[in-house]
Amino acid sequence: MLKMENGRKILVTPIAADDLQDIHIGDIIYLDGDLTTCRDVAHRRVVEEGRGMPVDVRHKAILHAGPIIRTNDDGSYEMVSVGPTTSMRMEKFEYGFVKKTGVRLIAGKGGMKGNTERACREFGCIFCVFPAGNAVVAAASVEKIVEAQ
Amino acid sequence: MTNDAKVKLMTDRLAEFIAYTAKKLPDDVIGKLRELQAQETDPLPKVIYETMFRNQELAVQWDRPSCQDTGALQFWVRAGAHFPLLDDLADLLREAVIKATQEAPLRHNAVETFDEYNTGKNVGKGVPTIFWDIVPRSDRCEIYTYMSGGGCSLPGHAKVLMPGEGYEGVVRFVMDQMTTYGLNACPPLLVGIGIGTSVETAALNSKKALMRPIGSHNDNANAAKLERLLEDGINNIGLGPQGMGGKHCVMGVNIENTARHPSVIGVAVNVGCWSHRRGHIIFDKDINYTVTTHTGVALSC
Repeated sequence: MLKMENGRKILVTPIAADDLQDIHIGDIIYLDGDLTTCRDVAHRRVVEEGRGMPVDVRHKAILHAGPIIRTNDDGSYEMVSVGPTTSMRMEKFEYGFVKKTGVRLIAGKGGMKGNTERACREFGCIFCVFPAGNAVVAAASVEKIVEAQ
Repeated sequence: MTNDAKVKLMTDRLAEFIAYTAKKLPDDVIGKLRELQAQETDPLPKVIYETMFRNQELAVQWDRPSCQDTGALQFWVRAGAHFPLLDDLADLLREAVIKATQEAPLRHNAVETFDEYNTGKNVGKGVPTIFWDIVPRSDRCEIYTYMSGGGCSLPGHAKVLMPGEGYEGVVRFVMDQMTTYGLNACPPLLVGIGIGTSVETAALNSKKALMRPIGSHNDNANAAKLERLLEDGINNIGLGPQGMGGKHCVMGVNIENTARHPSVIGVAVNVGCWSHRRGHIIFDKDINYTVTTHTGVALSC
């Protein structure tokens, strides 16, 4: 779903392909809902090994990130510090990843290239950047860690 | 104080300082970021800088690492030949990293090569990196601490050129690397350039260049001129902060140079990201400390 609130474009998971139509390069958008961190090993697993992921990200969002997480005494998790990692490392897998998983939004850092661009056009997905190194601002936006693997 | 007591004190102080550097940027970096922020006029770079400063405030307030990539720890140690803890330094540096990792907390960034497993303790074979200089006739120990993250490490490159390629070859090498990889390293960047006689001497020089304050210049007039020219050249790529477009993507260019064999010129480029978490702490023989990079550091131990 895409909603407008106080002049802000907010994507809420699950995201339909149509929700992405009115988003343009240079826009600042917001994300609400489910987000899964996914970087090098997860991408290889899906694309090279043909294995599924323990989390279904169809029509949802992923963040290229390796966060610092703390385990609380009651076994729940706290997001200490989370920020995007260099997305270019995932570029070679991204077409295959988007095709297989049906993810709609990929947040990362720096740029991507032809594979990701093709995937976005063909399957209805966008690539966005979160300002890097701002891991406490991002952690402050995490309401809950549902699971950590 | 006994030797053991000194070892414990230095370990504890270092561990606390390392954790501190994960949460608060050095004075010169903050100063430069403010300067660059003031010069941006477009809305997107302004939003980026506002976010950066809000993040740094929150990191100190909530006592958390400002960036989740707390890097592989590296130390450049300038140890006085008469510093009392020379025998223990390598071990205590390692212990300090383990302790800081638990307490800050830092991310576990040591993966043993070939066996490809994360050690889970943020130390491993040869990590933390320790570069050693022995300082004659001194009983102090000066330590540069550094968090070398994935983002800033990726553009690292070193090459040996033929002297016929000249310093123009050096410029071409640096510019190629910055245009290809600069974006991914979280601009605005501090660019360290090493010139030397071989691939590894140039590379080491490039790392030492990153330990120098922002705004410092090489003593040699030609080198200083090249520092300024490269700073302008890289800024003109137009990446801006985070590659979102803007006037500056460079906090500075520092060149460190040593002499070369007549038939080669070694050049290396190494970058620090905007979150350039470099620290400088000096211990005297009684383990009293002075920090030069961050004002207001008061360690609890």
